[in-house]
Amino acid sequence: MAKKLPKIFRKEYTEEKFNKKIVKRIYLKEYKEALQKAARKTTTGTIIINPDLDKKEKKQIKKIAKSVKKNTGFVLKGRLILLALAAGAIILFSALFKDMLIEQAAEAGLQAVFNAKVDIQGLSFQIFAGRLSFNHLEVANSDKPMRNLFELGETAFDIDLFELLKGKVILDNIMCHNIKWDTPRQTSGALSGAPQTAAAEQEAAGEEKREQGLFDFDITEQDITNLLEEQKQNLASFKLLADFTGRYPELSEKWQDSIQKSSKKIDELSASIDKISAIDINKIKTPAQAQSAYNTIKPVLSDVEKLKKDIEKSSKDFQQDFDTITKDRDRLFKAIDADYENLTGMLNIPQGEKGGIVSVIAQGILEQYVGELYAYLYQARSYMDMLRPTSEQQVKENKPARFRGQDIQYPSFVKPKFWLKTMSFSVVDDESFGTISGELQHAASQPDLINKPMTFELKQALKEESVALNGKLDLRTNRSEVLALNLMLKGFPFKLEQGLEFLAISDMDCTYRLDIAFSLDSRNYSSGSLQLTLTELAINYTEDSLITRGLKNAIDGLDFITIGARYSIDAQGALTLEITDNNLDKLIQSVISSIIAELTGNAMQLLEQELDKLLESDLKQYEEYYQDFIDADKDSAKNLLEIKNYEKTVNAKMKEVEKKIKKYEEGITDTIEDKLDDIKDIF
Amino acid sequence: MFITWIAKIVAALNSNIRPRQIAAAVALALLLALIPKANLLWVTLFVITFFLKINQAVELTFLALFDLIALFLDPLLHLLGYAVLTLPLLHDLFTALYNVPILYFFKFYNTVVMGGLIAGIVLFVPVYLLARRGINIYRDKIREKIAHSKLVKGFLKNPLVMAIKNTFGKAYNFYANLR
Repeated sequence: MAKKLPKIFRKEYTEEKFNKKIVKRIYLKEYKEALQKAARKTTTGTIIINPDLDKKEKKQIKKIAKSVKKNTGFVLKGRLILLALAAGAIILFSALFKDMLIEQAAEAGLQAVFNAKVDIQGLSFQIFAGRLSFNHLEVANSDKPMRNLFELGETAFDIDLFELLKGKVILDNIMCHNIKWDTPRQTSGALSGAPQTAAAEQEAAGEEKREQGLFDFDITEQDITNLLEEQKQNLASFKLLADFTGRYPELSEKWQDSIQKSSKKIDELSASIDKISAIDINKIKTPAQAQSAYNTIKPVLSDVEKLKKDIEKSSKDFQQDFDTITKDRDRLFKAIDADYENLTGMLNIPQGEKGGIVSVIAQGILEQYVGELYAYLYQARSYMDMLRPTSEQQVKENKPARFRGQDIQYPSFVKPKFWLKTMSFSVVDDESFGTISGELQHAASQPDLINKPMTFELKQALKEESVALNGKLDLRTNRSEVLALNLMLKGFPFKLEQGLEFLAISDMDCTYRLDIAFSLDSRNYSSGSLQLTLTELAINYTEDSLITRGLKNAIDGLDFITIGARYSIDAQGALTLEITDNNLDKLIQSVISSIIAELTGNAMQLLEQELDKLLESDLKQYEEYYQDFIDADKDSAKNLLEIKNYEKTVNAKMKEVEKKIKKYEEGITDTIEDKLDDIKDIF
Repeated sequence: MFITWIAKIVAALNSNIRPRQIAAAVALALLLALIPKANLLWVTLFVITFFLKINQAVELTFLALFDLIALFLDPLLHLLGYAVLTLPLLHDLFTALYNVPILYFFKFYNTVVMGGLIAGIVLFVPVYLLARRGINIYRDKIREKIAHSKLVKGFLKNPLVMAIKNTFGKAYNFYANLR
């Protein structure tokens, strides 16, 4: 059977059409010649190809027909169809398997991160919209396989794909509903082959009780006795007493002997003095009687004067010793007072110098909340810093083969490597967490490029409790304030179990509202203020004492406690707190001051008694010795007085006798002169 | 490799392919060669050529050839591109294009890319026309003379050349059938 002509050559063509559709598409001379040879004109003027060509000619015509077909159009339709098919296949694949594959990849990736099972449901990735969303995500807790670390409800990420192609992650929006933490699981969330974690962290063996600065409310007699026993050898009064009682007996005996001897001598003179006193001058009538009286008085006077001299000397010496003893006595009592003061200091009697209950509460609050905030935000800052592209992260580019030219920069909004424009999340009516809503804006790796700080806001409400947090993290260069936030906590229970032992308070329960303003500067110095209002106070005391009763009365009378404070935290994390306003400390201070005054009085009285008791025996002995000295002093004075009296008596009598004798001498002289005058007259 | 390329060109010139397909392939090869390759503009143009009825063998062969020449033209292209990109008149246009997300990857803002694009577009028509004219001259006047020259006839009768011709012929037919 003869081969048919190619289809295009089986038709009849007008001459015009033949030239246009066939001849114009033939560019080789031999092809043109072969076609002319094969073509012929019909009677109607149309052109056809002669069907009766030989085999060689037909083969040639077939080649021509093939090349003519190829020389039509500008586009390769076959390839376009292939492209369309490929695109269709991709779209179909995308529609059928894309989400599933991404879901599996995401689960595998998250499982590697959390080391626990991750389940994502309803993942959808709209590639051209740049939107990744899922209905539910749960991540198991690797430490507690039957619980979830967290669950996310409906969540959507809007990603800027064009920026992603540039290697920049720009998240226009992240929206997440119904976040839940620590929820139970039906099946174990442990990965097969994952190492078993410790069942639970060991509780701390027990925190050492703070002992510094405790107020000792229980100063007993035994405590004071023990204290005195311990301090006995250090007491100056005790040493002095020992010294005095050791030295005084000998001294006392010496002076007593001396004074007794003097007294004895005085007594021995008393008879002579009496005798002299008994001499009646008026009864002396004769010179002889006068002379006799004189002779009686004269030796006694000599003895009295001698004894007086001895007693005066002895008294002078005694007074010197007695002055020393008096001074010793002053030293002793001053030493007793000093010892008492020292011992009082050792009793650790509260002086009210403590910071007060308010500062402890504020300190507790700050340590609990600001400390956590500081740690969280410091960590957030470090994470933000990690987002910053570093020179190490920049990929080394190979030297280009061609001259690279120059990129001309036009005004443009250069976006950072990472930029989360908005993220919002919410939890609605969760039993454990209540209602939570939060929003974060402008978390960027290079904040200078967007010239906006990162802002965040969180609100939570559960029954009576509510939390509101808002703030900004500003990592733009040359910003003095890096972080600023305001935190409000309302209706939360607060339990303080440490720090109030000095007030004999074991723990304190209350409900509070706290407003904290917190700021962190570029040098990592933090400062801020807090306003704390405590209500529904319930305080448990370690004991029933004067202090606790006073405190109870004071605090029961308050409806609420307000505390205002300023604080600062230095780069090393040391906290400085300054209470600016409170209504509790003054009240408590006045209660405590009065109680302390009473306690102090009692304790000091007790100490005085015990000190007296300790020194009693020595002091008694001392007092006896001292009394001996006093008596000796009196005896000495008495002796001196007596001898002086004796001297006075004897002297007076001596003068009278001498006067009498003189009178007699004058009478005799007158008589002799009269006789002599008579004799003169005779002659 | 080089012989294969030459054979491809010879085959294209001597087959009943439209001269404009070959001429367009040469002109597009010049355009692609003048534009640096690491950008979306080049990739886009290159991919587009796969859907055009041009002779890909000629295009790739001339692309390789023009690439060598372009290496020396880059400084001139840079000057040209810089002059265009810094024209105050076009500043607003380029700013707008610069901020269109996908156009960023075309790297039109690079002086060599812009210079290559402008030079390629400007040279496209003359090169196209020149190539077409050259092909026509070849086919009408030179091809027959070469085919009937004693040198070629002797060369074609060489067993090695015969073997190459057969092998290439089979490969070409296979390629042509694919198209």
